[in-house]
Amino acid sequence: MISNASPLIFFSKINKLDLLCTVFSQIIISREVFIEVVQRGESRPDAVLIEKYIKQGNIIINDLVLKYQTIASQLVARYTSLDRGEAETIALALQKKENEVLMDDSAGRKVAELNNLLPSGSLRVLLLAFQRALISKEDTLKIMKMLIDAGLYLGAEVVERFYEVLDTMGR
Amino acid sequence: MAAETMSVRILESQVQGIDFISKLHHHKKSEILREIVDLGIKSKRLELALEKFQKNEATAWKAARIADMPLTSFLDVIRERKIVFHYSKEDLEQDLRGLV
Repeated sequence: MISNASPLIFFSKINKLDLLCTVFSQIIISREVFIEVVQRGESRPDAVLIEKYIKQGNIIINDLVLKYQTIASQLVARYTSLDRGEAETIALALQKKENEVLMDDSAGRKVAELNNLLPSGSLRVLLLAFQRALISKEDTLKIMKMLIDAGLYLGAEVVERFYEVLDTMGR
Repeated sequence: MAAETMSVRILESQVQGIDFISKLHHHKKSEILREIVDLGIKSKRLELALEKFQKNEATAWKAARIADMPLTSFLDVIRERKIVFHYSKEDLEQDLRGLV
């Protein structure tokens, strides 16, 4: 799974990168995501933890070839609310002929969709983990709250729907 | 070191403020002023970033660039200020595909 910066930061902040790497077996990131989450994060605990997962080979950095660097530039020029980083994440997913991309921010997700990619967010990761019995229902709720505390500050209607879904989800 | 000399008219109250800090701090007025400008730029950039983020004109990542801070720190700021992240109910519905 190609991941954008924020899902990595959220799961790292709550010390649950292992869960993310279990659900997807391998996480691939662009150079720009690496720079943001590790280098710009300096010695913050979440940056240090992500770097450890990169050293272990659970998270892999892939570079964009020239053609897809150009595509990333075109995306940034066209969708001005996006950072270069998000454009590179989308371009990397296209370069690797992926169907999905891990991304939370609505604007980035919309651009991914326009490029025929299915966006998956941090909450989907959580629900996939629950469905595969990697975590209990209680843990799922606990981790959702931890994600909110880590900065994925969700609106009330999203939280409400999440509770509702978890109640009806069988596995 | 300072790269450029700028001439700016400032208010009397601002002059008094700088004098006050300068005496209290035993620092040169020019040093105080440069420090104040730095602080001002930082807070102005953050203010602009939050405004852009809340108007949906920037993703969290782009807003972090405007604020000139790492994304991880910007995410802390929006959490502290209880600003809702850009993740709507429609985004959640999309994330539920194949799960419900």
